[in-house]
Amino acid sequence: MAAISLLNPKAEFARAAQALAVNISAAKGIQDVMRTNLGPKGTMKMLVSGAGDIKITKDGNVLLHEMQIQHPTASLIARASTAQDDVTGDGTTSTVLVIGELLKQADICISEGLHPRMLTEGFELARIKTLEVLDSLKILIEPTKENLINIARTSLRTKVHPTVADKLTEICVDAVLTIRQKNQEIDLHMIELMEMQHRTAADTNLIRGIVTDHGSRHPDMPKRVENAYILTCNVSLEYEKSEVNSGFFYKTAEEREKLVAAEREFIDNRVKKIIELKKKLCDGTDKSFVVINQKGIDPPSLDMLARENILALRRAKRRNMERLALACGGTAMNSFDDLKEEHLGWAGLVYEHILGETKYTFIEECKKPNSVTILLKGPNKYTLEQLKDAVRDGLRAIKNAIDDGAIIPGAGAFEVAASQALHLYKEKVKGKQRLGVQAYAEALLVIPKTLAVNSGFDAQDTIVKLLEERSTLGEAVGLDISTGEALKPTDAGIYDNYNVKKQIINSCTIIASNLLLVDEIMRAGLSSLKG
Amino acid sequence: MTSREILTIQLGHYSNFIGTHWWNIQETNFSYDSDNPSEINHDVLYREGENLKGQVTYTPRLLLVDLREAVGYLKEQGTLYDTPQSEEAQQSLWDDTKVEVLKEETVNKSPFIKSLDESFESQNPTSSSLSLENNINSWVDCLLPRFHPRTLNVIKHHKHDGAMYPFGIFTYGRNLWNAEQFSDDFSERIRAYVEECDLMQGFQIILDSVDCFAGIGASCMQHLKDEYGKSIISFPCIDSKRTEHSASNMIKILNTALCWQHVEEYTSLFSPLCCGETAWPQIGDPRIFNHLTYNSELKYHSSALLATALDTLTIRYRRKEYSNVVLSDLCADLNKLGRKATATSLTLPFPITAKADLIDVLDDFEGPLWTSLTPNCDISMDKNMQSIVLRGISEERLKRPISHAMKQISKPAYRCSTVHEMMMLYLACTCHASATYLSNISSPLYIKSPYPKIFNNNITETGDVIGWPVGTDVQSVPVMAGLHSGNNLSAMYESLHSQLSRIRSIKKFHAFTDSGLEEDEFNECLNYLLDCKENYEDHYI
Ligand SMILES: Nc1ncnc2c1ncn2[C@@H]1O[C@H](COP(=O)(O)OP(=O)(O)O)[C@@H](O)[C@H]1O
Ligand SMILES: [Mg+2]
Repeated sequence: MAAISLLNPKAEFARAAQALAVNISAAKGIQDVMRTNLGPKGTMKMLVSGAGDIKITKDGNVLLHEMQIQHPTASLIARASTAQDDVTGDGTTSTVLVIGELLKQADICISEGLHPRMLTEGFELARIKTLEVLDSLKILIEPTKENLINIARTSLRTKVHPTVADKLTEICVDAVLTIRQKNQEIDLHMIELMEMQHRTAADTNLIRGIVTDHGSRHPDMPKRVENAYILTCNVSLEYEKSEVNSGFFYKTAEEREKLVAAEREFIDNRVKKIIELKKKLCDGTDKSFVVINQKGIDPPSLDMLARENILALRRAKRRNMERLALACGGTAMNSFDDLKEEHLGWAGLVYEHILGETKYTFIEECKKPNSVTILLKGPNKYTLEQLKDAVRDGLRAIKNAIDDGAIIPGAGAFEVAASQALHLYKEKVKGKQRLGVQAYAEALLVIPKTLAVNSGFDAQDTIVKLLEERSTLGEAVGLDISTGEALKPTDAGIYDNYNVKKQIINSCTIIASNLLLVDEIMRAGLSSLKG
Repeated sequence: MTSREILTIQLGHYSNFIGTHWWNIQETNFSYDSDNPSEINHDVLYREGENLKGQVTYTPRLLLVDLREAVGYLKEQGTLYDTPQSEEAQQSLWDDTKVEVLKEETVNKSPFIKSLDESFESQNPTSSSLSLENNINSWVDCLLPRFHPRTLNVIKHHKHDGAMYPFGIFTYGRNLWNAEQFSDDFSERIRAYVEECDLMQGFQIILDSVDCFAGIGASCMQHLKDEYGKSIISFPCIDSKRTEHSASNMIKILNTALCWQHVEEYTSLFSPLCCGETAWPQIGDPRIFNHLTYNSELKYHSSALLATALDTLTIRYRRKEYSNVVLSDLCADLNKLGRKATATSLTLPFPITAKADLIDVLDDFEGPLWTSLTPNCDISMDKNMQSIVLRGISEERLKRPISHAMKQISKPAYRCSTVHEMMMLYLACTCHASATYLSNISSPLYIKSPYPKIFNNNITETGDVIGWPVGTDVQSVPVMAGLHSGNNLSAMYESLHSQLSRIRSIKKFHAFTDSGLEEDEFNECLNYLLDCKENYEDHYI
């Protein structure tokens, strides 16, 4: 076991000057570990634990958390990347790279005698300017399928093979557009990601309805029904002996049995209410009846329902209650006192699929599904995880684009443009802060440079080309990762999220500054960094 | 017969040691002999399943949580449900030339686990010559069962986070639960288990009370209560290894007090466990068992005793014969008047002399009948509400037939015709002003490696006490264990209260205040302990 640490975190910091050097070298070290991961040509890391568990990822945030990088600086950077992930769901590798590069550039200035304070003030000026550039690159979009496909594809191709990525792109965009409701914030929880062990990831598909990972618990219940009324409820159909009756002073066996029978009847009556409604609505028609209960259903209740050919599921996920109502219509019931047809939902098809010991129930052919399920398929747990991470990123990218009402050109175009603008801006800045602006302009180029290197091209050559093109064309210019030449991201359909870049700029500036002003932070105590 | 299922939850390192012995004991006591079936309904604690190769599995219905470094060689998903090789036809999701493998050093299995694996493959029983005392660093090093993929929950963190993730702090555990990721995963696993159950009895929870697992446990129990409303029995436990650090003792006391306060609120019944006579202000001398020699400094030893007690006392609601006797009955018996805390007792072995009958043994019995395993709490013979389980005394050993009865006939107990009857009579006579619920089964506790060798050499292979040393290992043993609710618990609360009130202000405990503990909550906790103390005082005499 790890020693339960009660150490004052301050004690781990070396003295100020040393601490700065330590911070810079640690940030560089982390950057070195992550740089190969960036972009569609980046490397994946396969982390194999001491027990043999596998995790495959290139997500900067995950890597920071999974790899045992032993340094307090790392946890500061980790916090930035976690925040990045929480807020936007993307850009975590870029975050790590930009922080590292800001510190690297700072290191050069500091070794020439510049005070860290001057640098951080310059960073702040640069940050504001960079955000202006970002705003100027915004491309306003309507949330149409064509517009969203590009942003989703760009994101997904940085996570999985193009063939799988393109398949997932379609699925993700369809999913979001299906659940999107006019004038309402998109709730990605209404897209359930369900995992299923299966040979190939390419069979991942979108179900316009609900898939649960459990099924009926009675052998005689139907395995497949059509034209189904769906009753969703949160009502116990399970007889429970209460804790009130002490067993000490034992009543006679008969007395006990009677008590049980009386309490049992209470439950039976609930079941009868369901059956009554089912008979009224379904008997003599081609319609069928499905019960999905958040509470338990015990064997006697299952028996009664099965006799009526009702398909019943127990212990459904709390979240599925809401989702079922959205997918099938109807209301989740908390009692059966006043149960009516209007409370029920509807699905064209409900069927069961069994895999090993897991049963899946598919509830499909809903009239207007405002909640859907992406059924992820992969041969093993870690592939499924990898797929899930990718899909999550894809969904977030689409949501971000809709929320922003805008996207920006990708492939390093933003960083190139910002860097160039900062170089012009720098001339207007008086005093030593100018050096900070300059360092910032250099640091942003780490993104296109790294994209180039990861695609097998020379960093310097590429940057020169891109900056030249940008100057001549005056429009957004990014890197063509297959040729190493400049391209127009808008032609190639490569886009990034506006809010992702914005968050990167903001959080990297803050964290880098904090790391540079380490001596002042030490005095203020680490707790001031919380949050 | 529908089984009334139970879901077991183990939270924390020491709890997992206890759990490991407990599951080991279960498997050692499985009966594969259809003429001699087990009296225990194992389906209460186990689930039957099927892996993707179509093989039937039988695994503990269990969720456990521990830190990364504690689980060593254990794979998160276990090994029973590995995908069939043929389906692994690897189709990767990324360009294979662009995958960089980062491999941690493989964790070695302990010699015991290695020998277990080998015997599993060769179908030979394990040789028990290994000395386990020096080879067990974590509970995984002496773990017999294989787990369902849901069972193991690892808390991931990095070493460099040490200062920021104080695993020694109750409130940190609570925050961890509240961080969506953990509780989502965990409660989803709970739901999956509960969904499988036809008619669940409830939950048993073993949790470490001195560190962050107490906080995880408190939140978890709240979730269980809100979501399922079933009975919950819990055992907050404390390792009896002594530590010198006095500052950390105070933190453990604070954690324990907060733990109880919340456990009290959400569970139906609970019993604190420790092999030390006291757990505060520091760990005291080990509890004494006349026929055992054990090292209370070793988790491996002390947790075996606690597991033995748990195994026996829970038999009440795990029997085949009385399948309608369930956890809620036990709780209802003992938690009257809001007295949810109980003391746990163990009698190991139940001292029956070789060749003697129960009637004589009870008659000759001297000294206390049981040893308390609840810290800072002795268990008196009188004025208890108690649930006691006795296993391993067969009906043949009750008394001699009338033709050979001799002196036995003059004893009042001779009219008793079952072990149950005789024990009840004995308890009625010896336990003044008490109400006892007794369950008994005839099969003893079967023991084999890795159960520690803690029996003195005057205990025979079958667990009888004799007057001279024997050279054989104990293979089975009669055991008695119980839960007792009486005024002794008042003293337990009082002692914890007086220790806790040494903390003048919570402000000095930064790790707590930083993770959300407020002065008010602390004061409530102090009051809670006082209330409980008073609640257990008997005023009727
Ligand atoms: N097809 C492409 N060509 C060039 N650059 C791309 C392409 N697709 C994505 N990128 C760039 O890759 C970067 C994102 O890489 P990614 O691996 O997702 O890291 P992050 O974790 O920072 O999001 C962005 O700067 C994006 O513009
Ligand atoms: Mg990305």
